[in-house]
Amino acid sequence: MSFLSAEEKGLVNGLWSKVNVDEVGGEALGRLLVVYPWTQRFFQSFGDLSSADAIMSNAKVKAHGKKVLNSFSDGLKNIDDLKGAFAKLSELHCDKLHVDPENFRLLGNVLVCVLAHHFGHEFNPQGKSLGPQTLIPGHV
Amino acid sequence: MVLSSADKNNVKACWGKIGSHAGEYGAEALERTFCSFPTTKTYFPHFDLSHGSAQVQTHGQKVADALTKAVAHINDLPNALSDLSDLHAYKLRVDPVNFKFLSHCLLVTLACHHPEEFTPAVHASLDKFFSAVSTVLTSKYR
Repeated sequence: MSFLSAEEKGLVNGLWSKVNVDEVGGEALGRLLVVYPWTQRFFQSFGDLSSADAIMSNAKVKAHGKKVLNSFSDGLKNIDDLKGAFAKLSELHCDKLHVDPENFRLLGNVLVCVLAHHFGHEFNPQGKSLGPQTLIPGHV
Repeated sequence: MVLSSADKNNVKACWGKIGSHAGEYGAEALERTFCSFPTTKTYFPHFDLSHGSAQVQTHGQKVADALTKAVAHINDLPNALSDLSDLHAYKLRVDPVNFKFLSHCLLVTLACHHPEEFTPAVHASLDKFFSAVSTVLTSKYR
């Protein structure tokens, strides 16, 4: 079962092929920690998160953001079986990391903002509408 | 959650840069909301919601004007938005979840059109501001 039509998959993959996954990951995670500072609770070992500048230039934030977004890319490659693709990560986030699923929604929204920021006028409403739909099922 | 003086300055500066485009961005944010969160369309059965609709443009301008007023009275949102608060509570009764959808789409619209202004700190301030406005508009619901 897929929740995206063939056209929607085309739009998402088309946009994603232009994304610098490593950079966008770091920026999205950084902005999550800046805009919703309570999310920092999961990253106490990351060092200096004392200001927006500190967060955005933090090497651990960038590295982890890259890791997170590469997982998203993997998800996109397996878009017809997100549950299967994310099974192990789902267990990790639930049983070990104890992350409230609300945080995935927040990250999804921030990621959409970052993509809009990067793509500007190219990020039309049709492309944008795929953001929440695609990203929220990530918290399977 | 409280708007710091830095937040207020960020919001005023950003909104100042938007200037006369506010109406256009209001309409775009509405269009994005209807596209990304189709349940929001249920509040507009009487509207033509197609791309470029005159009704959406007019309504976008209305929303933008209200936000401009909110920015100008950022130190006293409950008073400045009191009439709108009554309207939303007693007449429109838009479910509170929808304010989050529109706020998100406003952020996306601003990110698209003003990448230079949309730094992480300004992004945070705007998100807090829209959240504060939403809180005032739903404050009399019950």
